[in-house]
Amino acid sequence: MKSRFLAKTLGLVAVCAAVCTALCAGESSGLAATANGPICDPNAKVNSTTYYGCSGGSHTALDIANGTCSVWNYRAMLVGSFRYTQYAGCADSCGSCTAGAGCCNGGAGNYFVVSGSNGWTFRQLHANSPKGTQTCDRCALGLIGSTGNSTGAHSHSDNLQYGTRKSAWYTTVGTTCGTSGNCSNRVGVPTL
Amino acid sequence: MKTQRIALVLVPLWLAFGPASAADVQSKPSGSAAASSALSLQKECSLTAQLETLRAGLGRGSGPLKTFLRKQLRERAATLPEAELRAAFERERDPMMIEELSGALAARMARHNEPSALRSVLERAVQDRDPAARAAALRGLRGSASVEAMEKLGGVDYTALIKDSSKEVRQAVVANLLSESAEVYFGHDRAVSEQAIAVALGARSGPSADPALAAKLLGEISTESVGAAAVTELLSLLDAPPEPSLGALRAAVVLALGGVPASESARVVRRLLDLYRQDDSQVVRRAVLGALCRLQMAKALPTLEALRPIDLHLSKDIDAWQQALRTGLQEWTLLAREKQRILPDAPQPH
Repeated sequence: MKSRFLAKTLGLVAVCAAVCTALCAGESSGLAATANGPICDPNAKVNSTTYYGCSGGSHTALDIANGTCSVWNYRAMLVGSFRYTQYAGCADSCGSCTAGAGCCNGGAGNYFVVSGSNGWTFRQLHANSPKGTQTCDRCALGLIGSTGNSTGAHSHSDNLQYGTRKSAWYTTVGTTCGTSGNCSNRVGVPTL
Repeated sequence: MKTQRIALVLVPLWLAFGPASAADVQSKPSGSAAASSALSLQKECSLTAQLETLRAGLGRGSGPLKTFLRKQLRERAATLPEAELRAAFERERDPMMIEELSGALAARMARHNEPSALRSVLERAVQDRDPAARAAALRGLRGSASVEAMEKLGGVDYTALIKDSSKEVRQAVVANLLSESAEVYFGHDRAVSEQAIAVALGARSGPSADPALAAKLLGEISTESVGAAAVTELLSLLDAPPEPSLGALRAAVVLALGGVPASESARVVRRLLDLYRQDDSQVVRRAVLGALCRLQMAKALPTLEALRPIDLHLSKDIDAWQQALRTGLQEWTLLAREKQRILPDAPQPH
């Protein structure tokens, strides 16, 4: 009786271990970074998170704006030195995207990518006057603009793994519509 | 306790006034109110006072306080005049503080993207008569884009610094390159990887030869972006007759070859198969098994089986790799972790 119970228990433990291994094996760990707001202006605010305007269609990224265009520096958001690779070629814009030249780089406009490990990336989109690829800590990447598929000057930032946008990087720190997007305020903890 | 109290008083002042951004608006007038505020701030929160707080904190403070004070100086470095920071660095004689001030200059460089901030750090890393000061100056650059900065400034780079007579300096070189490759570029930067390979080559011979450090560097550096010339250099290191005392270095070369780009994998696989037959060191052979799995992934299954009769002592390793490969994992880090789970006593491949 005792040995049958022991065998059953051991069997259950083995199954649990196998399931856990299978589940854990699918995960790829990365480094947790800190992201501050991209605009050094107290008026900068988050206005879209998981949904556009926090109640519209799916977005799964942070949009931050301060109501100006091509005036304020577009700061690299990650705290610490990272390589921001530039993808540019879009003419500066402060308005809405119209089919053609304005909807540039697949809608991303002039943008920057930090490539992390295991397929993780962090992107910052829609810059005006991009300054080129840089390795730096919260440096100016360009100006806050509206290049690509954008309806007004703002910063769009997202954290992806193998191309899929994730939301945990900003939800876990409580960032939502109305949160300060100032460059001294932490808005997220993206994985890289 | 006194130090902690001082810090608690100063923190709100710096948090309130310290991180002020400079010139973020393209045309922003500077008012007289801001100027007078800056003057009164300088009186209360001088760099000298902050450095003394840091010195006391690093000497007697708790771990979290040390971390806080270090970060605080690096954050403030962005808004301090470079000349003031540089002068403090040049005056300092305590290695512990030299490292922090070097780190502050590196942080300033990163925030403003101005490599010139590192000029005095590099001069000191080369010229200071105290090896502890040279090493501390270098350690302060950890986690910054120092390879790129050295290239822009010209003059010195890590291939020269690895020849330093002090082991402490050489260790700082290796630690900097590894941290820069992994933490700043996530292994993707070709220039850092190739510089690390050149440094490892330099560390193999000469009056300051340090094969153990060369092995550490090659065993841990990412080679995913290196060019054909660097791969050829690594392969040439395997041509010398196997010296038993350098088994760890040869194993590290093999590990480095295991991570090269796909375009280079065919010739590397051929050479590693030859090496497995020629080199009877088990450390080297274990490294070859890991490198072959990394280069070939699922295609390595028959390759490993073909190698089995050559050294039956490594059958367990081959079994473990084959079991891991059969899980179908598509990422090297996951595959290596799975193999490590199956056979935990084997050396961890990078």
